[in-house]
Amino acid sequence: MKFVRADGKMMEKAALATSLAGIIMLLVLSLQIEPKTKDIGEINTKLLDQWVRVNGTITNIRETNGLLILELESGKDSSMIQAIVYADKLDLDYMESGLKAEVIGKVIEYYGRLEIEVSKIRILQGFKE
Amino acid sequence: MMGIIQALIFHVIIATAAGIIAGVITGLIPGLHINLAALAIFSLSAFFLKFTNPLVLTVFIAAMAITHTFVDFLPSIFLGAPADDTALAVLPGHALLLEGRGYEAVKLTVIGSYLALLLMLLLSPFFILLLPGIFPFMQRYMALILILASGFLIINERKNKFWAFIIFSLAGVLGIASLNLAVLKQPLFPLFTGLFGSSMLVFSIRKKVRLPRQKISGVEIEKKEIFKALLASSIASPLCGFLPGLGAAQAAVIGSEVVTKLNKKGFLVLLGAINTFVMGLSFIALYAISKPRTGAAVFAGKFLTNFALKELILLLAVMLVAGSAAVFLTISLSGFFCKYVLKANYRMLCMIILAFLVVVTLAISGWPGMVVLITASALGIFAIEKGIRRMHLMGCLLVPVILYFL
Repeated sequence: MKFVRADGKMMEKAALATSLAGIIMLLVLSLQIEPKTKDIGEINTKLLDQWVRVNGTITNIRETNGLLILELESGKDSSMIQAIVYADKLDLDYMESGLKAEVIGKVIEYYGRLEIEVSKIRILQGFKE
Repeated sequence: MMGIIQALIFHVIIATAAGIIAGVITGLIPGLHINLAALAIFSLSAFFLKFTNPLVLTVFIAAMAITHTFVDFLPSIFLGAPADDTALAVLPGHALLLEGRGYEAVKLTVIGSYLALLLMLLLSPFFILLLPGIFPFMQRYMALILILASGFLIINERKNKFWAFIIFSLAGVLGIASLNLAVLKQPLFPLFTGLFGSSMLVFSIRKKVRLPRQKISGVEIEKKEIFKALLASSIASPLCGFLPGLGAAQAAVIGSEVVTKLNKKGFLVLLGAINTFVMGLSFIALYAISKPRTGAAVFAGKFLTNFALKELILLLAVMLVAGSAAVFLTISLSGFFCKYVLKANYRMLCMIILAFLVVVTLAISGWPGMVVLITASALGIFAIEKGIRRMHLMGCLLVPVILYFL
């Protein structure tokens, strides 16, 4: 009887240790690993809900209800996609049309159109002096 | 013109039948969430749309989704591998299974599901009228409502509130890490499979669970208990349907606490009722407020850009047909499980299903999915070993959602 109790306790401790180790590992991985780069023209419904990294030129910026909507144009084939940024979650004071940017985010769909919900944005070049 | 209408009716009938069959298959696969099945259909939509139109695909999804809500209690009760929406069924459902009354347990959930489907159809005009007014209010206070709901459930934990809070929080961090892991495809699959499916299977394998002979019998339940369960479901389902991250299991506890304590049988009726009610309601929400609240309705909405009342009426009729068919199919399959499947070595059965879940996880989510599966399984096993109700593991969705709305 005592053995069974110890076995249960051991299982409990092993399960807790495994889950803690796994959570820490996943947290580190989620901070370290970045998604594969895709061309804007490659974004399709198969990538829905998946993380992507795209490069493009910001051709237009609109603000609506706390959202910043960036129009990104591919340098390769002029295909376009909208990148949605929650204005309160990123520092966007420096954002303007003409900048080349790298965007990391999830592919979402809004009223039948694919968009990127941005979690990170990096300006690659084009800062005005 | 008549030819076109006849062809459309024919397509709708075929889509309903195919949806029912698909719902049976998805419902029988342990841990498979209907959202994933709906996503698969959506991914293949370009192919299907060569042969039919978007409305027919929506009919297929509605029939599949409703059938799934009936059938997914079979693995959750018989195989101990519940999906997230049926996480709590493992308690009363398994209790009856261990008494040789698994067939009765399934029948109780079927009663709940079917009565809730009828109730949902009756109440649909009210939901259509009320939702546009209520939803913006709920959305404004979403984070606060979710924090209060989570706190209420933790405080109501019978065994150990401290560990319930820890498990809820750990699941929350696990959810945040998994949902933000860029290389992980379909993070919810390994997450829910681990927390609610494989953890229970490992537990069953380790405990060498042996089932008694299952009785194929009728159900005896007081009318009062069914009434209480339906009343609780009509309160809990809108909660579950409109609060993202809140699963049927948690909604069932809130509903049963608000109305009155339900016995084991009443609770199973309530779980079945919420599962189906929420699914039906999500299609009504898609029409009334353009906000689909389940994955199935999300993808249905993508097909129907112009969702008018006549389309909603068609989908409600399809749900009624699918639900009626699902009653017979689920009860028949339940008898099949009792007569054949459970007579096999139960431990071996659990091992085979566990191996199947590992293979599916690798296929869908790759190696990062395996890390999530192992971590989530360990957390699920910890909750079971501690005797804490596994609904607190839904923190994996609730915490990210709360942070999103804050």
